[in-house]
Amino acid sequence: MDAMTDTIPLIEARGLSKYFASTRAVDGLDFRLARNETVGLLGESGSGKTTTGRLLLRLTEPTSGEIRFDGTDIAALRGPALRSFRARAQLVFQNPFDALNPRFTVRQSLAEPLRNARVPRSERESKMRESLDRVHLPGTAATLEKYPHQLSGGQLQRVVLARALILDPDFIVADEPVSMLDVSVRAGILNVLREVRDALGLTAIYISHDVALVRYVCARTMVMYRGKIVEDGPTSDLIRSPRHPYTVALIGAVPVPRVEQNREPIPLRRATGPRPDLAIGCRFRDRCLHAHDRCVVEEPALRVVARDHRTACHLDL
Amino acid sequence: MVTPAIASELVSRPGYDVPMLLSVRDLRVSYRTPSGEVHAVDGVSFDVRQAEMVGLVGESGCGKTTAARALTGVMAGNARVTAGSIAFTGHDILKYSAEEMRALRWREIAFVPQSAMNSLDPVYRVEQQMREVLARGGIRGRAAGDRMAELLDMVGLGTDVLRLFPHQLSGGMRQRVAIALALALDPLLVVADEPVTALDVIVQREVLDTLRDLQKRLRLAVIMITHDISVVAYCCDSIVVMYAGQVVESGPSGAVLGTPAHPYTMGLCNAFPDVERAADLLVPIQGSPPDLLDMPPGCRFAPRCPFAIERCSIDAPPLVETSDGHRAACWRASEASTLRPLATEAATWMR
Repeated sequence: MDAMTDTIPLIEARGLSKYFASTRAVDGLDFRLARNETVGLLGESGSGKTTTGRLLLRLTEPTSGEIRFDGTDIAALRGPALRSFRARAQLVFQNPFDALNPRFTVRQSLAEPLRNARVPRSERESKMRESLDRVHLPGTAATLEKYPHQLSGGQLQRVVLARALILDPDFIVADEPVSMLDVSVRAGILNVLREVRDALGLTAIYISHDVALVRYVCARTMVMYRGKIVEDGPTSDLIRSPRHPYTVALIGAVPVPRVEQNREPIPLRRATGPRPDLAIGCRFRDRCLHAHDRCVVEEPALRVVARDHRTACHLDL
Repeated sequence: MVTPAIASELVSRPGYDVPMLLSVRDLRVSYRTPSGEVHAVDGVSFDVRQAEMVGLVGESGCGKTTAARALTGVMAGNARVTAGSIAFTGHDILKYSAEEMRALRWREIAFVPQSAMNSLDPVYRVEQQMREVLARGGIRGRAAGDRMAELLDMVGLGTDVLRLFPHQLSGGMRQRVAIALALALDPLLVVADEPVTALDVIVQREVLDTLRDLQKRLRLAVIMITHDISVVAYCCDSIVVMYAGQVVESGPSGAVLGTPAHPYTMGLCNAFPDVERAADLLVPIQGSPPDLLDMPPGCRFAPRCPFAIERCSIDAPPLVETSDGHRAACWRASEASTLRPLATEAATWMR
């Protein structure tokens, strides 16, 4: 890779917004994802994390702002350029039980993206076996001829992942990829995600509400709250010394599988009553224990607080 | 059939002076399905003391919800209890008539379902639903109004929610209303099925804190059904771990999570990502739970167990006490302290 392409981020979002009627689902995001970077997008339901993932894959159009993929505005892509983008940017579905056509065998499910991308017939078989191998499923007829109902949840999610990887994408968005799976099989899928991250040099976004899971796969994490990124930094720094009061609460609230654990009250007001006007001030102020006059009138912008670490808060926590 | 010998033995032991509220013994529940009889709960025994919070833990299909439903007497049409006893305050409620069970529900044993959206009727305001439950206990009119305000206050809500419909409440608020409903008639036991699973982490923590606080204050017994071992670790006094329709381990939370005696429990603890610990490789349990229609002979975990010996695939191990109040159904439970360090290594499970 030459120095020029090395410095262009694979993905750049500028002022990215998506409004649904009066709801600002995604409200002015600015971030860059470097090549080979794996980033966790953390937030509660309604924070806009899933909408952000869909915008990045051009599964929905932004209200304003733009997304550059390899330097090109994806809204401008048409015809073959759009088809090429669709092959290079893939979604891993949340629910493996819904993601595959129940009438398709594993072979048919894996062949579909190859056909859409016009991969020559002669190369398809080896691509299928290679992608099953990556997710540790045997690339044999025994696997390829099975229907979804003949596979366990863990095996299904591996097939879903294999299908997302079969065209050697540069970018994947995985939306809660293990939330539907039982704990005992979840660990296996997370290990595959880590292997894939290391082996293929993918750029990836993992959308989740679970800090423990994000920590396991992502070196960097962005925390979203009501349509905004409120904190963005190295995952270990963010867990060890969170800078935004929301992140502090989010990390403090996670239970651990041991009897000795933090049972201190979460430093946060419970969301009751009308939500504050998003147009002015900080959108977290109604729940923040530290909110002061400035937070009511001035919206905090993302600012650098440490190396590679940004937060949108007026305070210095 | 009640086995009074076991119950009295437990009650008389030092440290177990809290009266037993519920004793489930050898419970069996099966479903009639087109493919045959499915034994979803197959010989389950556990106890709940007064004012105790018990976590019933297991993965999907392990029978935890079916077992809990049998306690409330509200089961699917094709389900039936085929054996066992459920002694509640000394009486076997499996022998109760439908009328007697109806009298017991809400007043003695109340249920908090997984998704309050399903339990709350979408076409009625919160007030109507609360009044209906209170009327079962003979609380009407002004008294009902006072009680509703008191209940909502207990779960951290204001009376303004009374005029709202379920869809106008957030997930956390709905779950709080469901808890308020369960507490309406001062039950002795609350059975909560995955009460926080659908909630975001912070809301989950807030609802758990409310439930735990009320449980202590009102000296309630709570059975919390969950797949999430960290939720149990956070708030339960004791744990019952189920696998493929059976109890594989039970006991005080500290003992079960700190020194698990069954390889399945060891595996569950190691498979769980822990936000406070370094992100080493997670240790998955290979394979998947057995098909309920085609159970392996012997120990049901043996096909996935790295420590299985010949005997495990022939004889089913009984649930026996390994230390005070700590029980495990494993032929190698006495070697647990040697197996535990091995279970933390991924290579052990890859055999």
